[in-house]
Amino acid sequence: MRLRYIGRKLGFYLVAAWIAITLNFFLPRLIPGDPVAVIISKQQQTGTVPLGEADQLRRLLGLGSGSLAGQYGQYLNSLAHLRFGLSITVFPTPVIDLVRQAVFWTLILVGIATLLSFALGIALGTVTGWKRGSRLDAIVPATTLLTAVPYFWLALLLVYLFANTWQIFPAQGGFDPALDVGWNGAFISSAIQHSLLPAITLIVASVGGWLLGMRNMMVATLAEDYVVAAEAKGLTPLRVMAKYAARNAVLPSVSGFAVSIGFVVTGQIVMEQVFNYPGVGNLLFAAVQNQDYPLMQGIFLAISFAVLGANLLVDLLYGFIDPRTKEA
Amino acid sequence: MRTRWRAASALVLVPVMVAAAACGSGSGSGSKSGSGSGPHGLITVTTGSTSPFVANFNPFSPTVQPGANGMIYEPLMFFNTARAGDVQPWLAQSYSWNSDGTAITFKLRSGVTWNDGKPFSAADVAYTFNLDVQEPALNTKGLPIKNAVANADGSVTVSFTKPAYQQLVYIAGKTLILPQHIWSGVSDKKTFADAKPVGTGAWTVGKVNSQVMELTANPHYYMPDMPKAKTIRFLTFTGNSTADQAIESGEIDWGGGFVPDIKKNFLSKNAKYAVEDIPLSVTYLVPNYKQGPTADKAVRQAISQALDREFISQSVYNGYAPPTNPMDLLTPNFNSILDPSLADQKFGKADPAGAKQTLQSAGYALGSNGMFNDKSGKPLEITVKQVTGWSDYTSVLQIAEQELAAAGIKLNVQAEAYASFIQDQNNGDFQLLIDNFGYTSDPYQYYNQLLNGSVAPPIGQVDQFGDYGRFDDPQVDSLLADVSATQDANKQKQDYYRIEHLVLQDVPTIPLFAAQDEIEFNGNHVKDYPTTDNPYAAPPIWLQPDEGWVALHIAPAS
Repeated sequence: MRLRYIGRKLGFYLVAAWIAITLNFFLPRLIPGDPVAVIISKQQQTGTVPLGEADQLRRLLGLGSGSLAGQYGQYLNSLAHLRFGLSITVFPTPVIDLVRQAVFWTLILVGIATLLSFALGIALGTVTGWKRGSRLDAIVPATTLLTAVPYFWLALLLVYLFANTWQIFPAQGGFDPALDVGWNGAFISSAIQHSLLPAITLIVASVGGWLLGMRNMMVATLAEDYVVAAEAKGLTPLRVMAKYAARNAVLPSVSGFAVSIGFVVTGQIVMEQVFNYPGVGNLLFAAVQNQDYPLMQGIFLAISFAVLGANLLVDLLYGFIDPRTKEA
Repeated sequence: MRTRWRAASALVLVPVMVAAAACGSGSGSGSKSGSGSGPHGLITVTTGSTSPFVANFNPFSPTVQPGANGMIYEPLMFFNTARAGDVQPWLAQSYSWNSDGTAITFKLRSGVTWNDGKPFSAADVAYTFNLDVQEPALNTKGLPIKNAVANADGSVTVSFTKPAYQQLVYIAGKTLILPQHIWSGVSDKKTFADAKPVGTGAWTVGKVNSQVMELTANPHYYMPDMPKAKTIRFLTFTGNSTADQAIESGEIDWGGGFVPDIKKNFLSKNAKYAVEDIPLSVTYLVPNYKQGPTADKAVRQAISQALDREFISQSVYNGYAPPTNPMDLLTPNFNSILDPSLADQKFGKADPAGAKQTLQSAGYALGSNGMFNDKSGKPLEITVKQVTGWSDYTSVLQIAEQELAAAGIKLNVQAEAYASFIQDQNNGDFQLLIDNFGYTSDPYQYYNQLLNGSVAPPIGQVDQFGDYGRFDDPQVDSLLADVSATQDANKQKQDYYRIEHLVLQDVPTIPLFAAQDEIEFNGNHVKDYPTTDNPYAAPPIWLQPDEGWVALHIAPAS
């Protein structure tokens, strides 16, 4: 029974992965333009370019050999061998090196911010749902307002206030450029200090969504018979709130959380742009600007697999959290 | 929750202050100890590159890391991009051509070593040029090299399959000399990750991570008393706004970002902040010469007449976009080839009446709405393409739109993503576009890229060389061919003079002004950078290999 459930899920995810891989190949090629043209044009921004350089670059970069179908075959073949190619933006650096470097920064910052935001939203949502109708309800429109404010504006405002006006936090960067990257105290504390402001902006901007969802589910759940029964039995309010109401109310938020955990790897393009943060979002932005197909493919692949992986994990876990889903 | 945040931020403050103190004392003590005795101090720079740094200095990469070209690897001669004709010895002391331009001999400097201690020799130079022959994919400059030979007297002779006078800048000024003892052992040179580059340059690689790259002075550098600084630190930013923030706060000592309203946002903030803006390229409206409304010379002429270049330069660039001339010539860089009889050719104020007259006498009629109709009676509308987000061009075109409207010409501005813009430019799929061209020390390369109709393919085919408007005048083409076939400067001058007259007459492009190339220097930290009065090299940090020449001379300010 359980094995069949897992098997069915895995089969579905395999098909989804193949579709993702294929889209990943074709989508970047639908963007108009040509990487060699971008390189030539950039070089012309800093000098004349000799006649015939374009053809030479095409040979150097190994681009455009064979038909699209042939290229697709080559692409699948190199994926099977875990070869992701060389970036064009910073030729000839392997894509995997660039992605690995960026994912590290993104995972830590956006990952922790997402976790904190989720935890905070669920906790506040539980409490406001439990004390519905009290003054605490004012939190709901307040946080929703912050979510509704365009993120870049909020981020710039906080940078202006906390980095420029009061200089509590550094305005940008992932760490102090004077330090050596590594597991040493000075660097780690610098990295943490640089991550606080972006993390705060991410949490402030996203907590409202979790809170609202959780609060509304709480209100609905509190009307259920089993909650009334628990109260009638004389259980402590804390126990009723946490074990009876919140535990059931949190289920939809958990699946939402799975999706956002997957998207953590995407990075936050706007956040990383505003804070000049060395994450995946910036890398993706640079890749698109430079028509860097291999890099785009590498990043999209990482994102697709992170989203699929997170979903699979939650799908499997969900069977335990909510046994009803296994029978569906 | 709130109290925990406050506690956290208090904890954070400590390392900030410690770091700031460490920085201050570091650079301070550095400049004190180094009064003339060897390289000292730190210079922080940004090229405006948005890509992460990686430990990969492969000089064949079309997107080579900043610093690799000129700071780590060096060419044979230095061609000053800011002043045509200023050629300085770098790895070579001098050069001489054979009688027909098919061979050049370089006399090399002596006493040069690679940064791993091995001696530099003529064999390295010959090896480098022969690589282009052995592996044609590495010959990205498309040089017509036959072979290169190290002579017994320590000089090197490079032979060509055809006269190569006009390739000199690429041969001597842009080809980076590689160490044979390292590169001969590299099997795939195209994709070699050159993490620890062995060059002859004044700098070696310090640390590299995604945000920071540090180059450290080579203690055994062969030019006496060079370089001046101990460390050059490159920072990367996600875009103009983050880079500007750092430039304006004084964090960057040598930067090249476009700072809007630079007098207020940068210069006024500190008495020692300086901006150097030596004209290095020209901003153009490039008209389509073959089709659409701009194929008619009268239309090009009228647009040119209707524009007030001085006003645009003042409004958009605070005046940091100096005037240019109707001969399309980049001045003062190329003053040496300017026909003296044309020296007083200038663009004047906006002349809407004159523009109207030009169009009317060419057969265009004003409609009842005060705007011109074309010869078939339809409204005369011209679409200009620009790159989305290049904010200075957006402002330029907004003003141009109004000025042209005053002359009865309707201008539509169309912004496109960078890649689409390039595609349209290369295919000739535009009526008018705004871009800048230049950044060369060689007037031949400049005019050739701008005007050589014999190399631009027809509209619809991809052009990745120049002359995007498909200007086509066989006389100009043959004059350019003539220039390239000789080394006689006087003969070349006569050809250039004739080209200038033809340009004046044909109006192949609509030059606006010398492009703004504002380079910001923080005089509290650096001195001896190139200035308009002493343009020993082009100041942009993103211009290779000039940036290497500047890096030799620039010194930390005490």
